[in-house]
Amino acid sequence: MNRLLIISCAALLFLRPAEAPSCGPFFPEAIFTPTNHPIAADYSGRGPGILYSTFWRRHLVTAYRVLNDRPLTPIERGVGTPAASAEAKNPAQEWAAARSRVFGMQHDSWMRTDRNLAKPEFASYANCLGDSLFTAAKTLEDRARRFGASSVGVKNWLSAQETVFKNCGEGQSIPSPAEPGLPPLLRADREYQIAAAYFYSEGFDEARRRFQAIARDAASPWREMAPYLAARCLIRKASLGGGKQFFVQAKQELDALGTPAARALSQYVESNIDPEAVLERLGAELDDPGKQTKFQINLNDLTFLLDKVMPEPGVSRSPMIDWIVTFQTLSEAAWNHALERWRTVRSHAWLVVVLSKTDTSRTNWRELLALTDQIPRRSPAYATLTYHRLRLLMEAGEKDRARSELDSLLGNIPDNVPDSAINQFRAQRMELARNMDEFLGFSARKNLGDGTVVDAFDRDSAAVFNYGLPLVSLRQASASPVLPSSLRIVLRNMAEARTSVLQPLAFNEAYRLLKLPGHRMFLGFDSDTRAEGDDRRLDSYRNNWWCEGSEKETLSPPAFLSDSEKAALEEEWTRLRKRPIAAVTLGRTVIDYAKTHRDDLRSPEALHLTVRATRYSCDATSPISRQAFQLLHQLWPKSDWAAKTPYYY
Amino acid sequence: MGFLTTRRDWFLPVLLLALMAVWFLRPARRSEIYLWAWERPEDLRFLENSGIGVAYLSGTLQFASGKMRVLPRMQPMRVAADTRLIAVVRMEAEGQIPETLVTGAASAIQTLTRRPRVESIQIDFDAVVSQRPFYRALVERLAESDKPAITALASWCFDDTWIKGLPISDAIPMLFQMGPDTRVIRRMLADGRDFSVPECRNSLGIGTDEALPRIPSGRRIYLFHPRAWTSGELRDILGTLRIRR
Repeated sequence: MNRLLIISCAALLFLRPAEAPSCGPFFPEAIFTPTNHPIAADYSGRGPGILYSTFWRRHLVTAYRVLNDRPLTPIERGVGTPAASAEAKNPAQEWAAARSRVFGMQHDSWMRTDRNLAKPEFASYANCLGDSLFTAAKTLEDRARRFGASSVGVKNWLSAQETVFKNCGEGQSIPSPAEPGLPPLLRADREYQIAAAYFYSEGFDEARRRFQAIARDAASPWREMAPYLAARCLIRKASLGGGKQFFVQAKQELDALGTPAARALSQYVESNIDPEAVLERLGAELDDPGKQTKFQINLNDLTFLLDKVMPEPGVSRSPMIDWIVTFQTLSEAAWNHALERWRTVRSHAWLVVVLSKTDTSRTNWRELLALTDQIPRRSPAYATLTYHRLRLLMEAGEKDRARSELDSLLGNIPDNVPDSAINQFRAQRMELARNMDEFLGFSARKNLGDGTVVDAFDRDSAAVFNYGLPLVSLRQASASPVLPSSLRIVLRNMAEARTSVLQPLAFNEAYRLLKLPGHRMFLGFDSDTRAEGDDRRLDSYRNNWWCEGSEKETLSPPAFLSDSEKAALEEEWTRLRKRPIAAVTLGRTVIDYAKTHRDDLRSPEALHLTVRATRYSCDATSPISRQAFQLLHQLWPKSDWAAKTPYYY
Repeated sequence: MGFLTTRRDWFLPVLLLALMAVWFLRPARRSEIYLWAWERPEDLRFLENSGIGVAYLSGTLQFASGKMRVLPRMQPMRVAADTRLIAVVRMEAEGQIPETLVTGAASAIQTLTRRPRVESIQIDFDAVVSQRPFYRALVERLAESDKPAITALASWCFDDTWIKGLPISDAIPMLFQMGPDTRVIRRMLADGRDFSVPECRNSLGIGTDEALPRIPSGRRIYLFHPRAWTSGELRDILGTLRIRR
C-alpha cells in the first residue's frame, strides 16, 4: 500500500500542468450559429448551412464555389499540406545554430531583422527576410566543409556576413573587398556579400549595379540569383517611396526571368501597379479548379486586395468578386444589381443574395418568395433560401404557414443541413410558439462552441427565461419533460434564486442557498464554468448567486402568456429591479434569525457563510459582512465557525 | 480690555486666514495625459502644443515553446515635434518563459525602443504567476540602465501585490477590461480609497470605450482607444473626463 502511495506521489511529480495564457481570464463561449465563418471552413461535412454576408471573404469565396457546384478539390483545401507549426524553424536561430555548429561558440539567437522607416517615423519594415538567414546558414556550412572551419577564408567569410547582417536593423556597414589570395569561390561570395550589404542598408542603386555585375560573372555561384535580386532592388526602392516607375521596371525584369520565384514576386509587384487588374485575375483563378495549386496563395492575396480596393457591385468582371461585393454591400444599388444578375443567370448563388436583402416592404417580395417554392433539398443553397423564405413569411405575419413549413422541415431535416442551421430554424420555430410546451421544445439548441455538441439555451431563448416569464412559468418549465434534464436543473436553480427575492425568505431557505452559489438569477452564456450539478462550488470570479437590481431588458413577453401571467411578470420585475445583492438578501434573514436562535447550531455556520458570500458575490463592500462577522464573534466566539471567519469584507 | 484691539491681537487670526486662503486657492495638481498609440496607423500631429504625450507601441515580444519572437511596429505613426514620447513594448507568452531568454529580451526591448526623442520605456505584460520570475529578472536587467515603467493589472495594485519592490519607475493600473474585478475596483475608487501598492499611485490607464471610474486627481493618465485617435474624439473624451489641464 505504502509503495503504491509513493509511486502515485512520484507520478504526480511528472504531471504537466495545463498552460495558462498570459492574458485573460478567458471563459468558454457558447456558439450556436457562427456568422463570420461556417463550422467547417471548407464546407465539408453536412453542407454549408446558412450563408451570411458577414462571413469573412475567404469563406465567401468557398461558398461561391460550393453554390455553383464547384466545391474545393482536396489540393485546394490544403489536404496533405503540412499545417504551419509553432515549431517551424526560426531563421535567426538557424543562423545562430549554423555558427555554433561550425565554430563551436554560442551566439545570441536574437538579431534585429527589421529596419526603421525614415518616413513616416516610428514604423519598421521587414528588411532581412528569413531566406537570407537560411541561405547564409547553409552557405557557411558548405564553405566550412570545403575549406575547413579554421581556414582564414571561412573566418573572413563569417566576419563579412556578420557585417552584412548589421545592416538589417540600422546604419550602413559594407564588408571590405576580398583579401588577396582567397579562393575564387570565396571571392565570388564576397562580391555577393558586398552587394547584399548595400541592399540591406538601402543603397539600392549601388546594390543593383553590383548584382547585375554578378549576373554577368559566369564563375559566380550567385549568377542565377543575381538578376532576381537586381529586380528586388527596384521593388524595395519603390516600396520605400521611390516611385511607381520602379515597380513597372521590376515587373518587366521579373517577367523576363520567368522563374517560379520571379513569377510569384511579379504578382506582388503587379498588385502595386494595378491592383484592380490583379483582383480580376485572382477572381478568375479562384473560380477555376484547374488553378488549384495556387488556391491558398491566391485566397490570401484576394482578401488582402479586397481590403484595399473593393469594387462597387456590378463593376468587377469576375462573377465571383461581383457576387462577394454585392452580397456584402448594403445599398439599393446592390439589391437592384443582385436582382438583375439573378434574372440573367438564374443561379442559386444570386438568389441567395437577392433573398438575403429582401424584406416585405418590397412590392415584389411575394414574387421572389415564390422562387423558393421548389428548392431541391440537396441544393447547397437549400438552408439559406429556406431560412429567408421563412423569415419573409414571419415578417408578413403568415405565422401558420411558416409554422407548418418549419414543423415539416424540422421533422425531416435533409442530410446536408448542419446543426448550426438547425439551431436557426429552431429559433424561428420558437418565435412562433403557441404555448409553453412549444416554446420549451424549441428553446434548447446545440452548443457547437468547443467541439462537443451539448444542449444549451441560445441568447433568444435565455432572454425569454430571464425577462419574459413570471416565476410560476419558470417553475413549470423547470419540471417540464420537454427539456433535457441538464437544462431543467439550470431553470430550477434560477427559479429558486428568484423565489428568495420575490417571496418571504425563511432561514432554512437562506441557509440552503448560501451553500449553493451556483443558483443564479439569470442565465449566462460565457462565464459560468461550473459543471452540471456543481452548484456548490464558488466561482472565484464572483459569478455567484446574483447582483443588485438592473433594468429589465426590453422584450415583449411571449404571446402565449395569459393576461394574468403578464401582470405577474410586471409586478415581479418591479421588485426584481430593486433587489439587493444575494449576500444582503440572504444575510439579512440569517442575521435576524441568529439573534433570536442562539441555540440553533446552524446559526453560527450561517453567519460564517454570510461573510463568505460577501467575499464571493458581486460586491465585497456591504455592511452585512461586518454585521454578520460581529454577531458571530460576539455570540459564538469560541466556535469553529468563528475560527474559520478571521475577517469580514 | 477690548478684543482684537492691538496689532498683536490681529496677527495670529490674519495669519491663519491667509494660510487657509493659500490652501483653498492653491492650484489643483495638473493631470498629465498620455495617449496609448497601438499597432495601427496613427496621425497624432493634432497634439501639437497640447501638452499631451504619446506612449506608442514600438514592438511586441512573443514567447512560446522556449523561444522568443520579436515583432517590431509595422504601422506608421506621425507626431508633432513637441510631443513627449514613451516607447511601449508588449509581451505575450504561453506557459513558462525560461530565464535564459532574459538577455535576449532585454536586448530586443532596448533595440525596439531606441528611437530619437523617446524619454522612457514601458513594458506591457499581464504575467501569470509562473511567468513572474522571468518578468522580475527582465525588469531587474532593464533597470540596470534605466528603470522601466510597467502596466499593471488592477489586482497587482490591490491584493495580488507581487510587484512591490520591483525596480520600476511606475506601475500603471489598467482600469479597463478588468473582468470580474471591475465592480470591486470601481467601488474602491468611488469610495476615495487608493491602491495598496505605492508604485501604483502615480498613474492610471483608462479605456475610452468603457464607463469611466472615479479618477483620483493629480495622476498621470494613459488613455487607450480602440480605434485610431482623432482630434474630435479626443476632445469629447477629455470633456467626459473633466480632467483639469
